[in-house]
Amino acid sequence: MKSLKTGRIISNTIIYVILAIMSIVWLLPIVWIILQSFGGSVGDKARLIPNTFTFNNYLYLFSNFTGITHTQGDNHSLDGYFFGWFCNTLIVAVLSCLISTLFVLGTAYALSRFRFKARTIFMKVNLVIGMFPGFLSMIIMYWVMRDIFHLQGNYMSLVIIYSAGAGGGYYIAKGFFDTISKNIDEAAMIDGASKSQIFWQIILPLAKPIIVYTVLTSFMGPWGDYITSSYIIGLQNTKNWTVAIGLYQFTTGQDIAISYYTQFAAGAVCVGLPITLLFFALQKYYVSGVTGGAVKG
Amino acid sequence: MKKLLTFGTALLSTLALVACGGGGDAQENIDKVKINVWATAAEQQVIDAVIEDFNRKQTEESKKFKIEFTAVAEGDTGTTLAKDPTVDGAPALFLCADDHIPNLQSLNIVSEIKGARKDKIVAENAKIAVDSATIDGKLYGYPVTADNGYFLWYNKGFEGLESKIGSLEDLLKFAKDNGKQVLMDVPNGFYANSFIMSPEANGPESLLWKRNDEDKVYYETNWDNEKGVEVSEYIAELLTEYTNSGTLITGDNAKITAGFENETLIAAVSGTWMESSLSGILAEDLAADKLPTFTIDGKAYQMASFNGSKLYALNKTRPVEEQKTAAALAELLTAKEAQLIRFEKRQALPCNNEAANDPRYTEHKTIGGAALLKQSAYGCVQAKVAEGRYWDVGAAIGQAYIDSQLKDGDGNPMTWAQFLTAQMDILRAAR
Repeated sequence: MKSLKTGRIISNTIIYVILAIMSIVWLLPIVWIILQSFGGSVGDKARLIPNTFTFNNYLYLFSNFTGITHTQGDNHSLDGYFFGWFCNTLIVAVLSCLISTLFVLGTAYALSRFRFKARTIFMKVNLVIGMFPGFLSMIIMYWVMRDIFHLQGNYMSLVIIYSAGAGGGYYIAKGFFDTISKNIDEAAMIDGASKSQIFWQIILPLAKPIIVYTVLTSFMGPWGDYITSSYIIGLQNTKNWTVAIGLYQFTTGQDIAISYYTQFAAGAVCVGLPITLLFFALQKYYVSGVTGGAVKG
Repeated sequence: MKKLLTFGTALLSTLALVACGGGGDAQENIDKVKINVWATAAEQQVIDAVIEDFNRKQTEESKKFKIEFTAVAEGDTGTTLAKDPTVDGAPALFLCADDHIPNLQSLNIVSEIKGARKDKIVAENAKIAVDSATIDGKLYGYPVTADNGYFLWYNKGFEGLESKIGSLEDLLKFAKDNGKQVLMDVPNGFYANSFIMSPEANGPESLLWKRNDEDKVYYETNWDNEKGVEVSEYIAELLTEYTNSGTLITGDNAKITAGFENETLIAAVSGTWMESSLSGILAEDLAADKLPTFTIDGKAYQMASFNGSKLYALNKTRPVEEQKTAAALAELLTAKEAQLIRFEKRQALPCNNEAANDPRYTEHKTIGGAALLKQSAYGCVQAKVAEGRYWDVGAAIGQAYIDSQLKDGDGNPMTWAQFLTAQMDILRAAR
């Protein structure tokens, strides 16, 4: 009996040590970037805790309002842009998120509830198309946006790109809708509800967890995307950049990368905030019950 | 009829080209159209000053320059235009680093500069700047500033150091004796060439790359010759010793800044880009000079460097009218007066010979600028020697200098002659 207890203590200790190490590995970069964002000198780049602390990096990012500009070097080329990039990204992410969520849920509902010609073929073709990496369409997207829509260099073109094909990612939502009993639909139909009413008033309220999931993923995609935004917008249109391009330039841009490290860290923290807030706001729906007990009696 | 038409078109385009390469005072006479200009943000103040001054002197509206300025970093203009030279808002005139010119030229994006204009540029500018804009004898850019390259930064406030910076051996020994460090990023192809390419060893021309009949790139580099092996063996021994003792360190710009800040570093090999951050740390004690020499069998070898410049180039895909205006503006922006304005406003080193000797420059020249100019006598144009695949070879050689033992891929020891031959074979193969 005693040895059993000792054994459990030992195994628990080992597990906790492993978990502790893993959590340190996982958290260290985040703690590092947060501490660096308050760092007073670029020279402390390689230290976990900077020698001096300042709030100026954050004030610099919003220099349109605070008037704090970059102090090192004579290259002020990125002063005063961050707030604009932040707004651009927010607009792109919110619009794409709303449109994509509608597309995904609509497609999933249609494929889950309706039986129509070519339904299975559509699903198979979509599966195959989904296997090609998105960046294969990069060049063609560029020319379509440039010569057909005349939106090259404009961040609104990103909304079109991110949301137009979103319906293709319906799988998880469809799987969820499949678990909602069809009896509910039938009961509603008997009461005289149309397909559209069933979708909006009956299925969606039952599908909160999957709506939350779709909203989160379709917000985070555009929010952090670098590849698409950089080639569509281009380095010459500084004020139309998204935060991803801006922060990348903070760390790699010529004459800039040397001295913008702490500002980059502050920017990275600012970029993390909206996602964290969104997650907190939606978290409770993640856990809420699904359809259990919806049709009884 | 068709023949006549073809002839007519050919004649017209020749005329256009002749007009393009026209005489020196063309900027005064031609009618100007509005053009887009891409340059780094700091350049805008120079362009504004130069254009304002020019336009004030013009009586006719059509002779004045009208531009739309877009801020794009010098390293990004070339890559952005290489992707799509006809993008919305594409510039007729753009400022770029010289290493983009070969790529833009092969994609047929930059216009060649011919005739009197070319002669004027060649006559008026530093050779290294003109060389950097020339491919196969054809000129593709208006030299703006020769500012890329590396040399030695040091802390002259550290007692006794100033007398040691002439010799690599003395410098390293001095640092070791005082428990301090020297930084040179040896395992980086940008710095690794410094020893073998010494004018006393294989020389700055030894890394030129060429194209064969099939348009493939190859090198005739023979760093595996007697001289190269001798220098490498000596340098490897010297650098390994000081690397192992912790005196010689490697690293990026941030490490240099940090090293001078916490006073562990007394000297570092880097370029003009460090001046503003280092002067903030060392203030009056900041000094710079050409790279030191090293001595083999009593003979001194001067360490070499890569050099590069910034150029204004014309976008060949823009209409001829725009290119003519752009050429006139480029000429104005790279003339003596503009280069002096550029130096005053953004500390860019002039490459125009007259500007470089003007008291407005010589009396105010920067610490780094003076050292760079001194070192450039032992440099070579980076864009012409360091084509893509050199960087891995350079990095391998640099790494070998500071590794204790030379080994092949299977871990067997090898000699420097064998190692260099293996590396040179990578460069010499036509690809």
